[in-house]
Amino acid sequence: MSYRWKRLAVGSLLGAVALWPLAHHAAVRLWHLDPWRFFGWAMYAAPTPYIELHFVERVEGQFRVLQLPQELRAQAAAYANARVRWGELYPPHALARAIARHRPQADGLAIVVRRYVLDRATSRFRYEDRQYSYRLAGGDAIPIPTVGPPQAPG
Amino acid sequence: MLERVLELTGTDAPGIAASKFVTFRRLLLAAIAVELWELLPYWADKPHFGLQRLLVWAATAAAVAVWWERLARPALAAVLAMLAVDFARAFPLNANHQYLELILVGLLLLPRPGDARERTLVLGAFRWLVVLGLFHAGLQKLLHGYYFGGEFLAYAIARNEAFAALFRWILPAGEIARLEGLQVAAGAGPFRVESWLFVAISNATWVGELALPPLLLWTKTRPPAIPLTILYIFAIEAGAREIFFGSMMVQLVLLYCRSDMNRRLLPVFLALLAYVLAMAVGWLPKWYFS
Repeated sequence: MSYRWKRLAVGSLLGAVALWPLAHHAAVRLWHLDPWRFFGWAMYAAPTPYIELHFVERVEGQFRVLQLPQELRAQAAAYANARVRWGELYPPHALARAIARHRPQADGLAIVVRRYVLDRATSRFRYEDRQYSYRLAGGDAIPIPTVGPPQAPG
Repeated sequence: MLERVLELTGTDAPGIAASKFVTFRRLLLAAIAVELWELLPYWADKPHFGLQRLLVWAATAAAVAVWWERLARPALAAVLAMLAVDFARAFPLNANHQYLELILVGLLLLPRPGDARERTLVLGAFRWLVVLGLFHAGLQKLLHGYYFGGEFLAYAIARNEAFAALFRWILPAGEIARLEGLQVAAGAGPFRVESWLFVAISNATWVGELALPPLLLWTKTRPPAIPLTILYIFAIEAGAREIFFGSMMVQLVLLYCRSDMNRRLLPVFLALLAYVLAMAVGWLPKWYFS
């Protein structure tokens, strides 16, 4: 590689290191990516993200809280781990499909991702919910737009 | 154009540049090997423990080989490959210093042996990485806004014993106990402390990170800025206790010195790594940095 190319490589690298943290911050704000990861120099800038998952299913027109069966808990935990890192860039569609296969009697499902945020105004934690709704049919989960406010149980 | 930008961080006489380059790569590869040793126990019950052990021994061999000029580039190339594998395996859970290590080792491989101009290019890039990192760390704290009232540090005390131990020096025991009792739950808090000193330390954190980079870049303020930056890194690491990231940053800051300070301090850095290695393999009890 000639000196010219090496100079270009070094310049591009430094440019990327100079600009990436700004994009990283925007991604954290927009999609709630984990600020501690992805080389944004934002470790110790904000609390590590915490989330909880809640599930509501609809059976014969009745909504009820769904306690995940044992065989789905590992998958849900894995999703929660990935969700903490990738934020809203990683919707729970695969998890919804897995639930659909286990709950043939249900025709609707809502997965609520509850994200805990340290509120700067009060210095206390509060939560924000993001609801994903699905129509269940034939063991599949079809995402549908969520209408109205999120309805997380508890 | 790029050369001029790189020169803003200072220039070295050819002999000094060569010495800085060689010392830095020796220290970096030694630190990477020790870090892999330290992480080895975490892999003991994982499926790829055998591979991890192989990586550790290969990194150790590379850290020794890099002391011979003829073997330095193959050693760096091997470590870069190892870091890439390790990085891909851990993604997206990688610590930020893993990205930095990849960049540093990649850059160390760039110059042809004995090419002073290419070495200068890389040393300039290293010095820029220091100011970019510091500046962005401060900017991120400013943008997230959890340092103005000390909220993040209060949260860190609640969640991290190292921070609680550090701030026991300035906060009443009752306040530390209150914070340590807080959980992450709706309404939990307040993550605030009524202490002007605590709030001042919190704000000094991001102000320092934003103020030090221009002081390092400006020739007139550079001499005091170098020890100030190192002192600042020590202060941060008193809470964060990230020995590998902290020592790597100190070694990068020392590249701003006129002489090869890393070479003068080589015995100190190697002794520190030997100490961490002894803790990692169980010859010494774990203390402070763990």
